[in-house]
Amino acid sequence: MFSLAYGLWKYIFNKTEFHVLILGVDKAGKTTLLEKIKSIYLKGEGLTPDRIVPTVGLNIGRIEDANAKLVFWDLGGQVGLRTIWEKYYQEAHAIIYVIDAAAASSFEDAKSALEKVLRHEDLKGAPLLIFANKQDLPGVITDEELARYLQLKELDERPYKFQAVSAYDGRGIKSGIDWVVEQMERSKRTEVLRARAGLTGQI
Amino acid sequence: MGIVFTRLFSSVFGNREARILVLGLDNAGKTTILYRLQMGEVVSTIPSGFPAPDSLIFFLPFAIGFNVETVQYNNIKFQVWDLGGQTSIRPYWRCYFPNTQAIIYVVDSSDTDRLVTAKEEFHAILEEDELKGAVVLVYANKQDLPGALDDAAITESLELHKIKSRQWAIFKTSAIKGEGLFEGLDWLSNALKSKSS
Repeated sequence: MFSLAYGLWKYIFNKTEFHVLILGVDKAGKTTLLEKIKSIYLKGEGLTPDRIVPTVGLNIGRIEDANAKLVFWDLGGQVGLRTIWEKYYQEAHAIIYVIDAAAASSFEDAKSALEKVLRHEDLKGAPLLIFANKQDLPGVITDEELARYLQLKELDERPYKFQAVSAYDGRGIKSGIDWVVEQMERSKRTEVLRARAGLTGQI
Repeated sequence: MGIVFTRLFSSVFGNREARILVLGLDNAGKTTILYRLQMGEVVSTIPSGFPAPDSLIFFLPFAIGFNVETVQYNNIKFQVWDLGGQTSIRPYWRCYFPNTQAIIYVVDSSDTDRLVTAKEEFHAILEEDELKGAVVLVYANKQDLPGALDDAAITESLELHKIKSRQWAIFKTSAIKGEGLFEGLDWLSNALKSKSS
């Protein structure tokens, strides 16, 4: 009887664990973003930007907000390493795609890498949050301008949002995360992943 | 270089005892790396001089053939041994697992014939319960040799993408020339720091 009640308790109150992939080309600011997220949500000190080295692998951040546990996977963005991105797609609930909105020279590369991500079968239906990063820098473009520039055609079949942020001073991050959590909670993809994980609550 | 090392790691571990395992197949360049880092004298230990946990002393007579090199650097113990080979000694590896914060996995990037073995040994060690929390740094070593595979190719060969619940990174290194080693340690100290915060 106890175990039954306990199971019910867990079912109701256990927070779902969501996996969020942080992607983007090199120097977009993915790891700086991850550290900022950690410092916002964990109240601790994340690494300061001057200590961050280019990622050649995987960085992980875990946070909890009121309703959900989030696991962030931050993957390196250098050209040769982008082949590993897709190995993480199957288990990802959502994508945060980071673009350096102050570096017009990187837009073309960012756009084609993003289109490739969106075409991938394993990411079907995954909510997409595009961060127009580095809003603290002069000459940066807004989220609307970035959206107009990218002109993504593959966006129709998934929830998406453009958000202006600065991984340096933190602006925009929280509302972006709120949006992505809300999307994941009602996303069909979440149900699919949960079913695949065998109803263990561990997805 | 020892000073660089102190700068990197003193703030990470404080006074806690910590262990970093440096593993790989034989001839991957592990010992050369330790020498390159110049953190202290590398003590090569044959069973008679085992710097082992007390619990292991009892088993010494059986442990012939298990050679562990140790460098003590402040409160961090670096311990090196070869993976692969005799299965009979493998149980003794476990004596060195507790308190392990990180694994530095060294691969000979030019030894393409043995990459499959390197991969299998690598994933087997990651399965160990006591190492579940350890951060993984891979050195794609011997980049100075012709035919050495680059970091992307080694990532693929070792199937690093199967690691999903802990941080990992890969760096191209040449232990002989001393290249890439500190970049890797930079990442490692960051990773350990952000893990503990």
